[in-house]
Amino acid sequence: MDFGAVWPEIILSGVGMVLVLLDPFVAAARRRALGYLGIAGMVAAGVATYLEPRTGEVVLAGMVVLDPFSLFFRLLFLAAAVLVALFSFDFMEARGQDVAEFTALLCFATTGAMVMAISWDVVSLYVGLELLSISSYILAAFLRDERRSHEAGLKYLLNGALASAVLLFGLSLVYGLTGTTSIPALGGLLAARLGHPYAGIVWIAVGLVLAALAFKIAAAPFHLWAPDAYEGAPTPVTGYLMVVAETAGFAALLRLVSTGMGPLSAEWGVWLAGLAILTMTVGNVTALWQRNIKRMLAYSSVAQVGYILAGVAVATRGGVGSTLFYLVSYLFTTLGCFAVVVALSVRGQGDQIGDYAGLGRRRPWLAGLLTLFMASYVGIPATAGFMGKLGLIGAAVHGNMSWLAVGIAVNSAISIGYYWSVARTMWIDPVPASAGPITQSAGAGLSLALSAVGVVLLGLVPQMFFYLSQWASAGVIR
Amino acid sequence: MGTGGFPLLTLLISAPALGAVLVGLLPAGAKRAIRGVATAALAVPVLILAGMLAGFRYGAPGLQFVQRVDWIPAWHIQYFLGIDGLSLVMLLLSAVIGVVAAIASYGIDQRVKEYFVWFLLLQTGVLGVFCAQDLILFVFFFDIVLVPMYFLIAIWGGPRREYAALKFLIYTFTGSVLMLVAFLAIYFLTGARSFAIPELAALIPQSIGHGAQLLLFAVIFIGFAIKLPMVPFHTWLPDAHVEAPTPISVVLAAVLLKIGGYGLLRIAEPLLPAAAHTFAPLIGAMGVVNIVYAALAAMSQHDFKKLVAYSSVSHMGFVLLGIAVATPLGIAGAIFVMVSHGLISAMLFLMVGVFYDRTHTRELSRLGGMYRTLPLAGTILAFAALGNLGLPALSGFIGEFFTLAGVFGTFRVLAFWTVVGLVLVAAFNLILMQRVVMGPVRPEWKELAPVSVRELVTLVPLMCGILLLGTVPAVLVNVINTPAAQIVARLGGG
Repeated sequence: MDFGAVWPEIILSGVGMVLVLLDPFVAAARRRALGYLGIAGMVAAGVATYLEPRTGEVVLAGMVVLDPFSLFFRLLFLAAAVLVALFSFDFMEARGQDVAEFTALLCFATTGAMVMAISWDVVSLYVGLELLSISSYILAAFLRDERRSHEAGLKYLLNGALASAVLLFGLSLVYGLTGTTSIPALGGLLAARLGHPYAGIVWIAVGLVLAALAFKIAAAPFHLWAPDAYEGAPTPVTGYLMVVAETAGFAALLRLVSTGMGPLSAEWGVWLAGLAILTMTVGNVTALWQRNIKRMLAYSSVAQVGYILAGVAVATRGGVGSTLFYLVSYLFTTLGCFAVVVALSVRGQGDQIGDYAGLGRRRPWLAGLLTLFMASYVGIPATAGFMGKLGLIGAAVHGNMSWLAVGIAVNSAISIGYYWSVARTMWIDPVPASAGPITQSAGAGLSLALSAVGVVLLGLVPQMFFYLSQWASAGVIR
Repeated sequence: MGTGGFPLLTLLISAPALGAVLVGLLPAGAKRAIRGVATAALAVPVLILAGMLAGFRYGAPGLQFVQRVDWIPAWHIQYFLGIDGLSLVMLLLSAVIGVVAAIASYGIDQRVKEYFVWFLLLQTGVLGVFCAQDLILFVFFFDIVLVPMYFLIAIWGGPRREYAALKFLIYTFTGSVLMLVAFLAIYFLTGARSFAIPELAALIPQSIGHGAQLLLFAVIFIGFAIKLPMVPFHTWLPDAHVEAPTPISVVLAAVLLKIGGYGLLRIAEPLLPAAAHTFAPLIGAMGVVNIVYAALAAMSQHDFKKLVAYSSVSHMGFVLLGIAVATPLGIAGAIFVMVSHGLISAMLFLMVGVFYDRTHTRELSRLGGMYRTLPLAGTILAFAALGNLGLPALSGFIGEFFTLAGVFGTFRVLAFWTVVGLVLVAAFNLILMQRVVMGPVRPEWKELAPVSVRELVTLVPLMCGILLLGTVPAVLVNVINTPAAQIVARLGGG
């Protein structure tokens, strides 16, 4: 058994366990040091990832594949975990929470996401999904003294468990039809069953898998849990779930459906395209009415998932490449937003959009950067979002789904309504009398700066990232 | 087409952006320094363009001062700048109006630093639009313009500024993303491996069917028609113009609307000439609708600024008409109208500001008798209104004459309605003069301050330009003849 292939996962989960073991022996005031130890572990896992082979060899009894796709997603999850950890310590300490325990859970959840991305077998993929999900349920309910956090954790747990069950049921049908759990073998065997009297079961199985994954990425009409869970969860956790949990869902979707069920893409491509249009429209239109920024960002993430789904639905190599590029853009934009939102939330403000009134005069840098991230969400040039949408629209047009491209275009225009209301509030409304001080530690500032640099780099010189995402998408469509 | 040489156009575009960085470094309290730096940064493009005028080969077809490097090779997107006569006149107009509007902005006293940062970024976007020869680079600059414009209206505008600014943003952005879809469709349908306008123009006829060309043209046309604006996509304009502060109304009318006309001439017509030919009668009819409808709307306004805003919509009808005619005369007329309207509308909006600053009203029924209370201002307004009306010897006449002459040759029926439109245009300008400058002196306006030197500094250059173009139109015609002929050659006419 070649466990060397999963060094990054071993390191990350190992660091998580070390944190849990050390935690009782460190005074509460010093636990931030343990948090930084966790970040060091994430960076070390990143280095280990970089040293892994990436030529596509299948190891660990067919469970794991080491291809560019694996490398890409491992680094993506680790980068997101580092950015989230950096801006969450202030928030957790201000609420008297245990930073070490929190960081350990981040490590476990991220390990699960990474396992999902490197899986070459349905079983390992499911194990990764459950590790991510269970850690996420705890993270969502992490604020022990707040009812809303409990509620969020419970809702996330109930819906997530249901989705996992549906996925498992779909996968068991797939296994019954094909007799294999190996992802690359599924598609051909499923396609061969289409002629038999099993055709109906094939579509039920594919439909259940798609529905379960749509639950996980919060695509409409399976998104109803997301606004409640995202609103109630601790703010840094909301950012983490929106980025890592949803991106992991996309990794699973690309592996299981794009690769595993590739031969059936003519059918599920159209289903996913319909889902994409519905998701982006529902997300954008509902977001227009929100006054709570976490809820607004939750619906915004539903809309963004719709855009990303468009890239998967096209089922071409260009589509997958654009999907991966957009995921990077989505990561920096979302975590940048949350770095600002968390900075305001440390002292209990920042949940209502009204809390941002006059931020342009109080903290011009925070307001300026949040404006940048909003512009990126809309897709205004010189930001990552523009290049991301350019890629997705291009892929849709190229894949003969121009109506999908028009859907993205129209939705981008609708989304100005709510993204820009935040910018308007910050720069035009007067500072409220109740405005309290805003504190941001150096680590949180670093996280914000890194996200901003990411958004601008992707917006101005995206070349390297376009190549990277094309390279990583090479094996997905076979 | 050379690709080397001194990056003059990059310098031109980036000068205002560098100015924005400099202004950003100044303390917010140093208002005089901020205004000085901003004006200097806006004057740099004017100086560069003055130098370019000397080195420009007016008779030569094709692009000059070309800069072309790969920007995003994965998508075959290039940083491709270049100008022809059409770009040159638009750049000159934008650069001059930029300085004029900056001087007119000295009266802004709130959040001066932010104001000029946004203003300078706006100018970079505008100059970039007129230089870009790659479709994606064009969209890049086209959209960059929107954000500063939003804030300039939404922060420093009138009572309904936030609504007006958002409406402007959503309308224009909708047009631009739909255009982006069309551009990508062209890219894939031609298989061009390039977004450069000249390459695409050469490939489209043999690679895209007529039906698809019609659809693509319609989408791109609507994108620019929103910007122009064309009735029925014009409703954002009266709102935005009325709510924007005076200098921003000036830029909006004089320069931003021109991006619509410029885009039609630079992108829609040369890329899809067959579709342009098919749609020409419709475009011409829409042009006449614009002229007549907006002139009627202008006549019924009670608000000085709204009247001027509808006057802009009306004049953009002549641009559409000239484009529809598609003869060298018609195209040259369309470009001439754009330049002339840039100068005249800027003057009119400045005059709205002159009167508003003193009376704090734009109600036409409350103004009057200004010839006697403010003789100089009254005279200048009369000059601008007469220019707007199309009085010979002023620039408005020439462009409208060219367009009308073209229309007589091609669309006789439209010519009749255009003449009706001209009468209506004259009517609302005369109504404007009658309401504001004629009539008995109003007692409440007896003690108004005379026109200041700063106001004159912004108005006099525009007056000189209007007179020059009206009396010696050749200075402009010589520059735009070659690009007009090239566009017509693409359209297959002559």
